[in-house]
Amino acid sequence: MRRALPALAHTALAHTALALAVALPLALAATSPALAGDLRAPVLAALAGVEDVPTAAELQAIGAGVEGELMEIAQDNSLVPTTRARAVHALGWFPSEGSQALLRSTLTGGDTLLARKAAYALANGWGDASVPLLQPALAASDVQLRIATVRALDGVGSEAARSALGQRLTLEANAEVAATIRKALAD
Amino acid sequence: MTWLILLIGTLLACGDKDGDDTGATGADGLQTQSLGSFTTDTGGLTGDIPLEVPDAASSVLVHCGDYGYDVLGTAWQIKDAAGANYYTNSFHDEYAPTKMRVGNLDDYLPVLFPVSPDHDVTGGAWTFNAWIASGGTPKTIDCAVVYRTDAVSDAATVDLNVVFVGVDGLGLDAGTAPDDADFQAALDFAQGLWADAGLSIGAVNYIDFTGNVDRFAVVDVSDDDSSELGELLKEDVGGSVRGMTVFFVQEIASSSGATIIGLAAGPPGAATVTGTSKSGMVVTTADLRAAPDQVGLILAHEGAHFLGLFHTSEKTGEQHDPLSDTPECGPDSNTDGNSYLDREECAGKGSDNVMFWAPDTASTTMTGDQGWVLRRNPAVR
Repeated sequence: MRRALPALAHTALAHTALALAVALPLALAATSPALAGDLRAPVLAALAGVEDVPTAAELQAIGAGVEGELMEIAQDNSLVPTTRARAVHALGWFPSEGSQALLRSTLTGGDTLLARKAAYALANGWGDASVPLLQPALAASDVQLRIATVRALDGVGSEAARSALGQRLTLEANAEVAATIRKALAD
Repeated sequence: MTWLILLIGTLLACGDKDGDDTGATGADGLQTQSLGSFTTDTGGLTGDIPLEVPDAASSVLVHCGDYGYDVLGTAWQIKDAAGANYYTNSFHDEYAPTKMRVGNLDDYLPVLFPVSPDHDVTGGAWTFNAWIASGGTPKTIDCAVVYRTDAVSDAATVDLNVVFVGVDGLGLDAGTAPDDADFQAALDFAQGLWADAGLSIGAVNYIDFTGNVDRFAVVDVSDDDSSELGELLKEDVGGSVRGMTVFFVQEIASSSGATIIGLAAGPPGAATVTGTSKSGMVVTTADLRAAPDQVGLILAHEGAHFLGLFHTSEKTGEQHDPLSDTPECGPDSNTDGNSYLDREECAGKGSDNVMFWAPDTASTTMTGDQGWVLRRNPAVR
């Protein structure tokens, strides 16, 4: 007798091996960070996958001082852009005054890849409190940054986030951005 | 001279079975055949689908779909011409491990065999049973098969269709790429990595994407919605059908917004089959100006996935590829007790292989078995 077939799970490969952001409580205790550089190797190792992205748990498990190392990596021009981008994104899992300041600066900086990551990181790390920080990016000149900001606010999902999206929809001229907003508001 | 003509005619005839009564067409060393439409039972199984594998076949690509991005499909059972189990799913009552591996794939299911020289394919009457896990709702899917019947070369080539999607901000498009030093360096680096596998790049078709650039310049994917990736791979971009289509995009982003550096359909991809959600691969170009070798590495890594290779060892070390000559790095190598194996922990155990889960530009080795699989893919000549 053939047993009932179970549900299938995605193969842990390619696009299916994706880590979900874990929203850290804002009361995350901050300890004295290690000197920048002490954790460089393990943090870079965590950021190193091709299809796999690091999880919050993997980075947290490295120990105290990861936030500082991520901030150093995010600003290290000797590293490839995708490594810096992953570091910027990961700062959303280590919300602090310092990481927020860097993310806000990155969001309005000239690097559109890093700006997109900053948008997601702010949303992932600060939730509803990120809405006023992100709302100006809905009017960014770069289409992909606007799309990323829409998706970041969609992830927040609060009334304030939805209100910001609704307001932007009345002004948005780009069809793809508008479609992304509509999809977010329909969720 | 007459004997020579007869000999050549015989050799050509062996690789071409045009006109057999199943409707197969033969062209250029490939035989393609529609297998028909199948409706799964409430368990998600199609039942046995017959495959008449030619004696000259060096590889078989069965492909079935579409069944939706919210549904996963895989192989349930493959029987060889002797009626023995060539592959059984781990949930099958007759499960036994073999050197065959099939993933769980959304929307469209390409299944390639062989994926190991230890488990080759022979001619004859095979059967294939697909499992489309749609939660008890029967699905009707179309299945087809590609048999590769031309000779496999030790010096094989694969054509590339390189498609530029919204990367003009890098100064990169179909017009500039042939003379772009960084892009050509990336191609050269990929070719250098594949050289150990006896594979080189053939013709390169440079193509500007004419679809929805705003949608696909950054490909957004998630565990439960890969439709954007799939819809991009379905796009008909032209170029060589017998080759690999590579979409060069600004970035691939996960559901939380993290950067994914490359994604291939499958493994394997739906080689030589256009218009499916598994008909290509995507490479992030963000590193091109800073590190073209890095982009070349990703092209080689993802291209190898498309052609049927798996990671030598997965991130946790709990799963490995089905090849005998690739090093394995297992959980016992995890010396720092975290949840993943890094390059240092896997030194000497495959971290120098192009198909390690986290390779870097020093990961330059490919093994004989890896080359064996790559060179017999239907997309390769």
